Amino acid sequence: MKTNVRRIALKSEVLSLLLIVLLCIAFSIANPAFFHIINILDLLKVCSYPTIFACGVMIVLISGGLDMSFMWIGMFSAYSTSKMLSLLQVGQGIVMPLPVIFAISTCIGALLGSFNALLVSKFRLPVFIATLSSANIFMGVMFQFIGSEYIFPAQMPVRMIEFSKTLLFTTQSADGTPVGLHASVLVAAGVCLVVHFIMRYTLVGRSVYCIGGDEAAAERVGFSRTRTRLFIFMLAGAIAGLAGIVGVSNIQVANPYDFQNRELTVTAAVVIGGTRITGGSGSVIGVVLGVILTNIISQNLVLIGVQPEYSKFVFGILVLFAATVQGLQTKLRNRK
Amino acid sequence: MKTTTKRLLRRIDRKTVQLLLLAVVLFVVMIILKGDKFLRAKNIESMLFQLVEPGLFAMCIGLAYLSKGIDLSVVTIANLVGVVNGIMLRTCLAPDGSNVGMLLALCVVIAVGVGLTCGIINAFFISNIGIFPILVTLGTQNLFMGIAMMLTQGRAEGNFPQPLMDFGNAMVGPIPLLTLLFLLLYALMCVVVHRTPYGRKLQWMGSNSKVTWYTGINNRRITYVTYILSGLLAALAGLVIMARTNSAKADYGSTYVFQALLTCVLAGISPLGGTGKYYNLILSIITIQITSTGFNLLRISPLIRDSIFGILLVLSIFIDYVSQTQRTRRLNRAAIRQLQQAGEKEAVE
Repeated sequence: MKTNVRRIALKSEVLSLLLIVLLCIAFSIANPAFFHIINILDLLKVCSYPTIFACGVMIVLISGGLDMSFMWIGMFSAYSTSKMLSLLQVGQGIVMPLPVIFAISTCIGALLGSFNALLVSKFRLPVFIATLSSANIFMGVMFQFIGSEYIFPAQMPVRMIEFSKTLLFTTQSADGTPVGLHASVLVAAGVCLVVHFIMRYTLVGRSVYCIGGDEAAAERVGFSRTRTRLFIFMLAGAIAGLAGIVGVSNIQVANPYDFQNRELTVTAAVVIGGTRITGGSGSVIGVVLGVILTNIISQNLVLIGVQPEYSKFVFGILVLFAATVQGLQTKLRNRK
Repeated sequence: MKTTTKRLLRRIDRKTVQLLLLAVVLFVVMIILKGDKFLRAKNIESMLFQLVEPGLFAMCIGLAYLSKGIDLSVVTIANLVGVVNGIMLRTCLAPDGSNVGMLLALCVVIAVGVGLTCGIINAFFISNIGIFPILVTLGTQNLFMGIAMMLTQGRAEGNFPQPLMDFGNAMVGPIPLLTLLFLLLYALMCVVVHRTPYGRKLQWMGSNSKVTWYTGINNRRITYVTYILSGLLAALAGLVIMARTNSAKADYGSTYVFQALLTCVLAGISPLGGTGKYYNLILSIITIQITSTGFNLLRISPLIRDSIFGILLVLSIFIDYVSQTQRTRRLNRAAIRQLQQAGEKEAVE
C-alpha cells in the first residue's frame, strides 16, 4: 500500500494534475467566474493548437533532442497552404474542402520534417543545432519565396473560416450568444489519441523511446537509426503542419509572425508535463496536462486582477517550481 | 623543413582555418559586390561598434556550452541591468548633474551586483537542485524579464546622462573604445578558458562530469563560476546597451539569444559540452557581422537577414562533414596500403 502511494506520488504526471487542481481552487476563490462554462470552453479552445504542437515536440524530445523548428514548420505549412488556396479561391473560384486543406498543410510539414531528419542522420548533427538552423532557413525561404504579408479573413479559404466558427454541442447562453465546444478541440483530441496509440502500442513508437533511452543499445537490438529518425522528424513535422493550419484557422488571419519566439513556451509545457529532457520517457497525458497548466496560468492571471506585466514573472516562477519538484523527484527515485 | 611546417600546420585548429577562409571569402565577395560602400571608414566603424553586444552574449553562451549547459537568460540579465540603472539614474540624478560621476560608478556596482545575483540563481538551480540548464535558464529568463517589466510597467527607460553617451561613442584612433575594451576582455576570457585550471576543469566537466566528479574536481564550484561569469558578462552587455542606445527596455533584443547560440555553434563550440576552441569565437562573430552588414548594403530584406545564420551554419557544417569524410577516407586508404605492404613483405619472405 505504502509503496503504491509512493510510486504514484513519484509519477511526474501527478504533479501537473495536482498543480492544476490547486490552481483551479485558487483561481475560483479569487474569482468565481473561473468555473463558468464559457471560461472553461474558452480555455479548451486556446489549448487546442498548442496541444497539437506539443505532441510533436514530445516525440522529438523522447527521442533525445530539443526541437527548435516546429513553430516555423507549422507557420511555413499553414501560411503557404492558405496563400495557395486563397489565390486559387480569389482567382478561379475553387473552394477546397477542409480535409484537403489540412492534408496539404500536414504533407508540407512532413516534407520539412524530413529535411531535419537529413541534417540529423546524414550530417550527424545534434538535434538542437540542426533544428535551430533549419528553423532559420525555413523562415528565410518563406519570407523570400512565399510571402510575408498578412492574409486577411476576406481572402482566407472559406472552409477555414467556417471551421473557426464551428461549435459543437451548442447551447444558448444567458444573453443569447451560442456557447459550445470549438471544433479544433476535437482535432487536438484526435491527434492526442493517435499519437498516444502510436507511441504506446506500435513497434515504431517503442523504437522512439528506445533510441531516446540508449542509441547504441537500440541499434544493437536492430532498430535502424536512420529510419527511426526519419519517422520521428516526419511525424513531428506533419503534426506541426497540422497544428499550424488549425492555429491559423482559429485566428482567422494568416500572420507569418504569429508563432515567433513561442517555441520555448511550448517546450516548457512539454517538460512540465513530465517528458524527460534527455529522452526516453514521456507521455501524451502528461503533455496535455502541461499545456493546460501553462495556459490556465497565462489565461487567467488577468481574470483575478494580475497586471499583464506580471505574467512573465509568474510564468518564470512556475517553470522553476515545476522543474524543481521534478528534480527532487528524480533524486528521490535514484535514492530508492 | 617541410615536416616542421607540416607539424606547425597540424597544430592549428581545423575550425580556425575554415572560419578564417569563410570570413575572407565573404569579405572578398562583399568588396566585389559593394566595394565602394563596404570599405568606407564609416561602415567599418559601425561594424566594429555593432559586434560588441552580440559578441558579449556569444561569450556568455560559449562558456555555458563548454560546461554542457546553456544560458538563455543572458539577454534578460542585460536588460534587467539597464532597467535598474535607468530607474536609479532617473531618481537620483541631481538637476544640475553634479553627482554624475558617483552615479555612473554606482551603475557599475549595480551591474556587478545584478549579474552576480542572477548567475548565482542560475547556478543554484542547476547544480544544487539538479535541473537541466535549458529549463532553469528558460525559467529565469522569464523571471528576470518579469522583474524588469514590473519595475518599468513595460516602458522604456532613457535619457541617460551625457558622460555615459560620450563613453559609448568614444574613439581610440580609428577603433571605437567599446570595441577595444571588448577585445581586451575577450582576450582575457580566452586566457581564462584555455590557460587556467578553472578553464581546463570546465572543459573536462563538459565532456564528462561523472569522471571529473570521481577525479575529485568540485563540479559544483565550476558550475557556479561558469554561470556567475556568464551573468557578469551579460551585465556588462547591459551597460554597453545603455551607453550605445541611450535606452533600456525589458524586452530589448530578443533575437540576440538565438544569434549567440548560432555564433557559438558556428565557432565549433558544441552544446554537448567539452569540445570546441573558445578563441574561434571571435572569427565567427566577425563572419556573422560581415554577412549581416553586407546583406544590409545589398538591400536584402531584413526578414531574410535573420535566416543567414541558419544558412551560414549549414554551410559550415557541410564543409565540416566533407572534410571529415575526406579525412577518414584518406586514413582508411593509408591503413589499407600499410596492410597491403605488410602482406607483400610476408609473401616475399
